[in-house]
Amino acid sequence: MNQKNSIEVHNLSVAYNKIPVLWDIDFELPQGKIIGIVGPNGSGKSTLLKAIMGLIPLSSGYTKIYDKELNLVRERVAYVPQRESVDWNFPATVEDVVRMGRYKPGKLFNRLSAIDKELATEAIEKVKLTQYKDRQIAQLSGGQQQRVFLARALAQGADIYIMDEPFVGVDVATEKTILDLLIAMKNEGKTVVIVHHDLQTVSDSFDYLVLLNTRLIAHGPTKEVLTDENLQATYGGQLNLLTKLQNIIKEKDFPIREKGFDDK
Amino acid sequence: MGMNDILTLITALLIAWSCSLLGCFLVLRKVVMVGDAISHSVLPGIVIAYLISTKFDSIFILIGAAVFGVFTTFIIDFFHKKLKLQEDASIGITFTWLFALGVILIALFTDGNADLDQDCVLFGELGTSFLDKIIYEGRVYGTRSMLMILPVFIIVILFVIFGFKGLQIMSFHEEYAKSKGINISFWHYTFMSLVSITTVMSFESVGAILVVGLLVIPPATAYLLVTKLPSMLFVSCIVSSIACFLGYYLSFKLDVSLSSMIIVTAGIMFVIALIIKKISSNLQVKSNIK
Amino acid sequence: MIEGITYFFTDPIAQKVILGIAIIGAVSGIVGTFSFLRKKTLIADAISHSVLPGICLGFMFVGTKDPIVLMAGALVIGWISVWLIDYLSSSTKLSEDTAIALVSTLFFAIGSVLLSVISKSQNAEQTGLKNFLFGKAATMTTFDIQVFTVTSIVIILIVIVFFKPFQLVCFNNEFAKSIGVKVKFIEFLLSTLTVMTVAIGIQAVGVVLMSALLIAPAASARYWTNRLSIMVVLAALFGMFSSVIGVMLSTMKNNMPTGPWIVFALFTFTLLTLLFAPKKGWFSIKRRNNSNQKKITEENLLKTFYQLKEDGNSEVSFHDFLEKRAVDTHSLERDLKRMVKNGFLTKKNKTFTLTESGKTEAARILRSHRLWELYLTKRMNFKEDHIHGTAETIEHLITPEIEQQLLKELDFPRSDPHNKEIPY
Repeated sequence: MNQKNSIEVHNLSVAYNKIPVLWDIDFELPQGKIIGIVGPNGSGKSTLLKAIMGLIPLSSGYTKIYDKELNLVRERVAYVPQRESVDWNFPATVEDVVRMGRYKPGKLFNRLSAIDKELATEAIEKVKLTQYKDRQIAQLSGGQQQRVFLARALAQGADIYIMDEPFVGVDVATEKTILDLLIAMKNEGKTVVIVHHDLQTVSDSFDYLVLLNTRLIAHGPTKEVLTDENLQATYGGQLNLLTKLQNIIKEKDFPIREKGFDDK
Repeated sequence: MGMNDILTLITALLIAWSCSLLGCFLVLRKVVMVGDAISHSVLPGIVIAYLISTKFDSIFILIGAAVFGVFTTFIIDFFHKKLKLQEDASIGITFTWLFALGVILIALFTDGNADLDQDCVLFGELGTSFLDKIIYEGRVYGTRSMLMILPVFIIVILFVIFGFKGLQIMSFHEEYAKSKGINISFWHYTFMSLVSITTVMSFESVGAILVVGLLVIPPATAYLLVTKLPSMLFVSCIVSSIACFLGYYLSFKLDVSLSSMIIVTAGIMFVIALIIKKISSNLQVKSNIK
Repeated sequence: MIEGITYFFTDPIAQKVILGIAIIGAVSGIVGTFSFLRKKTLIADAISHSVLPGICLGFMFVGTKDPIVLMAGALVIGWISVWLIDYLSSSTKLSEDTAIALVSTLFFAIGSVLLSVISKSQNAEQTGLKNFLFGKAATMTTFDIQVFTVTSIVIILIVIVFFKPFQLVCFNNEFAKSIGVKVKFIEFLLSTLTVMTVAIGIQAVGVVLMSALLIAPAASARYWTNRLSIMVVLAALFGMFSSVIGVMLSTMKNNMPTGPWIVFALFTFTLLTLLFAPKKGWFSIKRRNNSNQKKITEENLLKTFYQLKEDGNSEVSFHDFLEKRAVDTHSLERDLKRMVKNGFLTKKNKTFTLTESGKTEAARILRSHRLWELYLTKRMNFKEDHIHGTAETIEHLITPEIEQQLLKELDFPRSDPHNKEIPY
């Protein structure tokens, strides 16, 4: 299993409420790197992650992981959604949540094994939350909650980690802990794909970048991609014809892709 | 305490436990109102099955009405997703219409038959359920109500125990569960089917309005007090048990409707839990400030 | 049947009932509109269930079914329930739907207990109280109607006077706050109106089904208009007609409760609306999809003809066509026929040729397609092998205005990224 790419996205289009949110996105991502997906608000970054994880329907195109369909390699991919996607008042402790990382489809009716529990404990150690393992999750700070999510993903023992805005609302110390952890993971050969909002951290810590604004602006090694021209195109906020057409599509209820049209 | 009291209480407890267990997940998934809708919508299913089979013990009642219950979630989805009606209106229109349909069917076809009238529909007749005993070779094996609820309770408790992890992850983080390849649809529709069946079985005993009370109040009370899910399930059952015993006693003492009194008692316990919670968090804030 | 209907309009008792019901239906439609827009219809449902103890307490206080006292009881308890739901969902970890269901059931249970206390007393008046559960319009007295009328007038006046702030709070809460509207007060006012409407409405529809009267007319009206003032009026009319029809239907049999029949009529209106409303109704959406599809197909066919002409083939047979572009043969025959009718093609023996207007239209589409491809590669950094798919969709949407902009942007180019000529 030695494909060059971890993730491949081909001709991907996604519409939400008839408005195209991602338009003909096309790129391949390398393995064993820390990859950032960057763009302004509403540029489709979260949607892109969800499309890769098979959580939303695609209007066109496909995604592949290790050159295979997602369903064939699911155990090798761990998804870390946004922190706000959960009600933290849920009656569960840190340990309860991290153990959920060991739940497997089709094995939900079985008990967790001793190995499962051990792996969960190790994951909690890696994110430095061992002393909090019995604490109710509502009593954690934002940074601690983020680390719980990360531990849950680590407990899965995956090779690719897909994370949606893991640094939002997180204190500086936690940010450093997480970053250190990600670098350690990279050194073990894992691939980390992160949707991120802050360009400063990006240029320091990320190896590879995808610049997104509904359409793909650029992708490649960070140094090559972070040019003024690219940033202008990503964040410039120009109301171009694409946006105008988005509105026409919505108004006229147009199908975003023609029926029976096949892309080569 | 006579035999009749015990029989009534056992029936009440079985219903209460089934509802309090399932209700915990309704509360955590924030779909209580859908549960409320289902409990109203099963009525036409019950009436139709009753008209067809003319007796209550028929298994068709159970199946037909449960189908109606799951059907309700489809109808709500249809209004919301296909016809683009906002979610709260989709729920409200669906269950009021189905409930109205049930009441109309009763009024048109049952002619004031004692077994199924409007009062019974709303309030149930737990208080007189002991009249319908099952007697075999001289020994009393329970009432008809009890024997209807018992298998449902067993299914519910087995599902909650064995399906715990699935219910837990689906209630906590549905998106994450889906990303792992867990079949959310299966869990969702199985769960809603159980809610429908439990509602149907409880209907005759405690009535439409009060089924919802048992689905919401004990779990909400437990939610306020505990920090782990197994505890929530357990405390929810404790609360509803106390509600049954105390409610039974008080309804007898004050000579008022039994099912209503059970709910009121549960409500009292909720208020107590609320007060305890508020006091303890005030104390905590004060000690944090010190 | 005819006599049955005329009876309704001549018999004084029936007239009274119809009048009362019509008022209730209209007011429910009006007030329900605001609940609907604020997405608070389930709270309205909770209020309907919660007022039962208020009515019972009112009754126990005076011993008669005095509508003013009952309404006062309903109002007080209604307010308390709204406040309680708000308190529970904001100050505890309970979510709003839990709070709604909890308050709703608990208050109803308290009401049921009170009802059973009342039933035991020998008071002859109390027999009518059960009608509050499912509604019995026929039991309305003249005094009841007078009270309803006065209440309704008050409600309508408040709606008229506060229309602008209501509108702002419903559509844009944040903005309203920023321009100094006392949002908390307006919300309180809206809740009060809802409680008042419930207090008078439950006599017709009953406690359990009252929320239908608040939701359905508003939901239906929403599909016919975008303007609030029209929506309010439409909702009032829907509510009014459904209520009257419902009451008439309920007389089919003796002793039938009116509530379910009114809900039935309401639902029929709503369903018809959801299916047949212009623009947002289901059939309308299907029709729009069909005409979009037809347009796309026609333009695609025209394009293919033009491309065939560019290849040197002006008189095109079925076979020629299918070689260039694979489509379903049945629909092809039908579509080509339509295009001949529309004047884009002429048919000679077994071949088709583009007419002048056909040529112009085809050129336009091809131009749009190729301009768009150019735009994608030059301005959007799309790769060349990925532009065809988008262009196939977008070409149908490019209006003359957008075309002009493209031409300006790209400086009137001569050929597209594949080096095909751009037809002018």
